[in-house]
Amino acid sequence: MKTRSRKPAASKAKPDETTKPTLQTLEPSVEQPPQLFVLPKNASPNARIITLPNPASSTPSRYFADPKHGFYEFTRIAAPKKACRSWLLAPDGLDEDDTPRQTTQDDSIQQDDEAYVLQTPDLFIATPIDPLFIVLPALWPADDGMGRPDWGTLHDRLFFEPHADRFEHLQTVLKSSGGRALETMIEKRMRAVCNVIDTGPEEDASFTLNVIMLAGQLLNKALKMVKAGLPASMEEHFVKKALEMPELSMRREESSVSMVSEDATAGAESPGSVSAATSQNTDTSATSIATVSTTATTLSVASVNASSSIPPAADISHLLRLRTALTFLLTTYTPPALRAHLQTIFADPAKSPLVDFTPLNKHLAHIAALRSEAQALRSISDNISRKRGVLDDDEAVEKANVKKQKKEDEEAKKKGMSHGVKRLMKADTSGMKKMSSFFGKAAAGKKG
Amino acid sequence: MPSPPINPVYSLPRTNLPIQSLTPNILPCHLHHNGPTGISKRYWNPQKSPTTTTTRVRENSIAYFRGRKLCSRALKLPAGYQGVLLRKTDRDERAPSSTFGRRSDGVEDEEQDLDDGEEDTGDEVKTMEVLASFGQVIVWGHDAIPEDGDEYVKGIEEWMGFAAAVSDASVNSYCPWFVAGD
Repeated sequence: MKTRSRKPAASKAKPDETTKPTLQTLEPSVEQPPQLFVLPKNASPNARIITLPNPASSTPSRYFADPKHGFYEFTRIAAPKKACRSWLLAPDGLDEDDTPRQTTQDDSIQQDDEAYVLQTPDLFIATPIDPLFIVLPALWPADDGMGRPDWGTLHDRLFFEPHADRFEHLQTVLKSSGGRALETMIEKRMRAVCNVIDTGPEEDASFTLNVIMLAGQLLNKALKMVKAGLPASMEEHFVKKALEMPELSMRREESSVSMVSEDATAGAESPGSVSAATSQNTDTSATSIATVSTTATTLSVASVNASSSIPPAADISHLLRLRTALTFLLTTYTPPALRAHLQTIFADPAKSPLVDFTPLNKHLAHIAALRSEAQALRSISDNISRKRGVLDDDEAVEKANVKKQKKEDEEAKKKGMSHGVKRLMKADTSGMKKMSSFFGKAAAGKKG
Repeated sequence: MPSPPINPVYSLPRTNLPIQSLTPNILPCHLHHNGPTGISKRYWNPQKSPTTTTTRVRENSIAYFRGRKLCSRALKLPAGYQGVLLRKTDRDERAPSSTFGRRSDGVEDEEQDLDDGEEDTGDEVKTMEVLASFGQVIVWGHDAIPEDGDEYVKGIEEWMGFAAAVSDASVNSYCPWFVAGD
């Protein structure tokens, strides 16, 4: 009953457009189709969509600057090209409706449900980004090439640096109403990673990037990310898979056990240092001198623990998660040169007393060793156990192939035979001369 | 695509008119068209199907599109977010009521002391027109409900939550030893 009332509308609906795009019912594609965005709710009216250099690649990218909520980066979600997908924007109430309401309202008024079709399946999602990363391209390199720190106010950095036109949009936004709020946001984050000279309440503060502070900020971020939990796919791919122990056959178990114990003594520093480090975490009020001493105690604690404990899996996976998060941050938000620098900092336990990835590295190396061993073993056992089997299989396959071929040939032959020949096959030819004998003689006779 | 050679600054003017709400559907097929179309129940009529998967109960629908069975998975946008359908316009931004000292040609404030006058050229603020809003996205799969690995599922369910942790800026003076270092 629904369909009957809708027949006129139905005739000019979708299928027309997909099957016969030349029909006059379909208007030509819109030049600039609208796009789908996910934006923060209740954004300020002064919010702007602006172009800024991407902190990692420094290519111009789009950001959403909202004086109320801060900066947002756009993530474009798109299906791969080969996965054919498109948007169908259906008016609400069409597919959300429960059937009873539809039946009551199912009148001709609802007929012109205007939907919208978008060819490209893009969706732009605005997710918050730390303002720190917004200014990072302006803060790095941190020295003037001669090892002297490069001091400058926020305005100097954004407006007067050689590549300042990168930040043109940011200038615009900072100067518009609501720019104040954004500026304080940026400045606050700059203070977290920069050495600052405050020249007075009237003057703008001068900043220079402190890479160690930046490393600390990143590390804290990573800790928070781990605490919040890595996304399932990340966890699966980078943590679970990486820590997967290879399966070993019974025979080799002995040696693998010995390796584990070996690893335990070697990597035993980890639990002590990690736990001490986390306890330091909470100690925010500690001064620089105090922290130096605490790191010292960390070391001593670690050495005491060294002989006894095996690194529990939880610690290792925590470390791995932490490193995954860090790598994610570094690759998404830091320029390559700075990234390399930061990586050396994180890799060096002397420079970053909070994280010591050595137990993790050892564990991973251990797993890799086990894996290659298992691999080697498997290939050996494969050779032993499967040699015969594989050959047999091959033979069998070959036989089957030959049989099949024969059958096919026969069938083809049968098909190729004429009706007459087929009938003749049924005749009793015993005692008759062969057909070829006649022809042979005749041919010979002609020739001769 | 979002990047023609010159990308102006865009603003999103607030309208007092009620915005139409819609449901974006990702169809698992390519529609070679951009623009409005009529839609009718006869050709697009998703029906709810209370399928219970092993892990959780999801709100699924089934639709038949040109004879093919499609199964859907609804992705609700996280709290604090809103989906909008935007169209770029060439209209210059008119000064909103809240601002002062601003001319219609763009942004020009009292903070003149910072500029050399050069940004007047590049300071065009265009407006994005808000056409519609949405609170959820529906992803459709051929004969099967899209899995967790789907780009859209990952993007909305995983990344949006994770991004909050990534961007968390409230980590000031958290680790003093780094401040002390160097």
